[in-house]
Amino acid sequence: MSEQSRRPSEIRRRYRIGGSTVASDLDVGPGGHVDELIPGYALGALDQFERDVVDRHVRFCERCADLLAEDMRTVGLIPFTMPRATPSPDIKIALFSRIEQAQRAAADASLPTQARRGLPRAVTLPASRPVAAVPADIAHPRFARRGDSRFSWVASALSVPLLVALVASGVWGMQLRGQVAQQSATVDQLQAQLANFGAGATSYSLSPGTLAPQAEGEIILGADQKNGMVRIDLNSKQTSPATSYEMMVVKDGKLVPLTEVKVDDHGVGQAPFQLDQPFSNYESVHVKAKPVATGDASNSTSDDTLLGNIAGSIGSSNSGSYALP
Amino acid sequence: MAMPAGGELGQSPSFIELSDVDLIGRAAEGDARALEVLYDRYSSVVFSFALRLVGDRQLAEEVLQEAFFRSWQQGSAFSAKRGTFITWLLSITHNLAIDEIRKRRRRPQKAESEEPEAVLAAVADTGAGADVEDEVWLGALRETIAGALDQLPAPQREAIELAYYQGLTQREIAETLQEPLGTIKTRMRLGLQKLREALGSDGMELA
Repeated sequence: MSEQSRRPSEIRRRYRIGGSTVASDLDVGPGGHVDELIPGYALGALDQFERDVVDRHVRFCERCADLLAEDMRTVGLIPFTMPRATPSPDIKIALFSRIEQAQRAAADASLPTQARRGLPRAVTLPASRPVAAVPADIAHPRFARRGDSRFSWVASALSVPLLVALVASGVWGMQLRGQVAQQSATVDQLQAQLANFGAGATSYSLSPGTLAPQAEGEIILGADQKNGMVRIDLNSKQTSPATSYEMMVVKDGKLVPLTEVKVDDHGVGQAPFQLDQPFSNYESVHVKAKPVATGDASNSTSDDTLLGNIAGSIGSSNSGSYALP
Repeated sequence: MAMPAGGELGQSPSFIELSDVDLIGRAAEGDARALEVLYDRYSSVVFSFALRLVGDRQLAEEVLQEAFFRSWQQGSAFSAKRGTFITWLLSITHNLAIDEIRKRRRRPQKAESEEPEAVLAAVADTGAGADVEDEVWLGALRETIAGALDQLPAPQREAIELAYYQGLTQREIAETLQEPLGTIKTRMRLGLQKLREALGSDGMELA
């Protein structure tokens, strides 16, 4: 496909992190500098993708970071043209009470398990107090007075559901800690992968299918052309029962599943993937909204494509102008 | 950190004398007293700005609270090399307010909705009770910046205002004004450049 025949949105979505040859209406200049995007960034007039481009670039480009700081300073003066109004004093109280709550929650979460063990128990089983306080001979059922016996029965009856609740909450707590640990591991893994991408990483956008025209998708591919990450944003709250989508690539007309992208309540999700072959060997990429059987790509229709088709055919011999780094 | 009755966290003179950069550094380490000093310094500017953007007092107060909460949460991400604390805080405020404006744009509007500028003008302080020196300084600052904005050619000012106050992207502005995208980008770039020159020549720089 020639440069001219490609759709502007496809060209626009292509850029190179830290690269040197980019020509698109994204206004990324020679050396990958983002001068033309900076005024729009400072005024908040860029779309999310363009903002991401600037954010990533200024992390390593001091020149553009300085230009951005200059424009931000200028724009930052505009609010001083407003007449002054005073907020309600309640807002300050609410703010600091919220901060206090957040600090408490953070302190609780950071307490080591050993320290938590030493804390007083919030709930005491009814049976524990009478047993300790009453001499063994009187506590024995044979010597128990009628009232005590009734109390013991009530205490026992109450202790069972309480015990069950405590065990259940303990199990739930353990599961929750497990989930948190698992999620932290995933985040660490994603961060490690992103760090590995480094200079030479490339980002490609996925075009939305008819199912979700507002959806956005992006593939970040490492310099090795094999390790990458797919990120999707449905740009809407998740309403469909499906909360995960399958990313597939097409090779020799066959659909090959690659990874599953789980989407949160806000419709955003991302997942790492690894290819057997360089990205350019594949024909296209699809994120499927419905389960699709692995196999012949002709079985797949545009109706089940949520996002996909990078530049139509990323690996065909005709796509030489689609300059993969 | 508990908030004592009366709403004061017990600011010590040393805190009041600290710079914004020092204060946000301490706030990032969890010291709410440092954030309180910053709140007292800037809540009025942030609130006025949010109100001018969203045109609703309650919503502006929510934006104000959220902006300071985020500055406390993300204080460690603040870099003095990238600009002043207040620029950073106003940028957080702007993003929050613009998100609200965009959400509202997707919903049907009440016919009687007032212009945000009029809402702010109606609740603006009279200046009574404020520090006279501060008021004079702020008045001069306001006049200079407003003057610099007024001097911009109308198309450049329009592009800046549509982006900054109404949260339109460059593409949306191009569509609204039926102008090429490149023209809008150029107007924004030249507009900001002129504004910077005008304010720079007046020695206008926030501490």
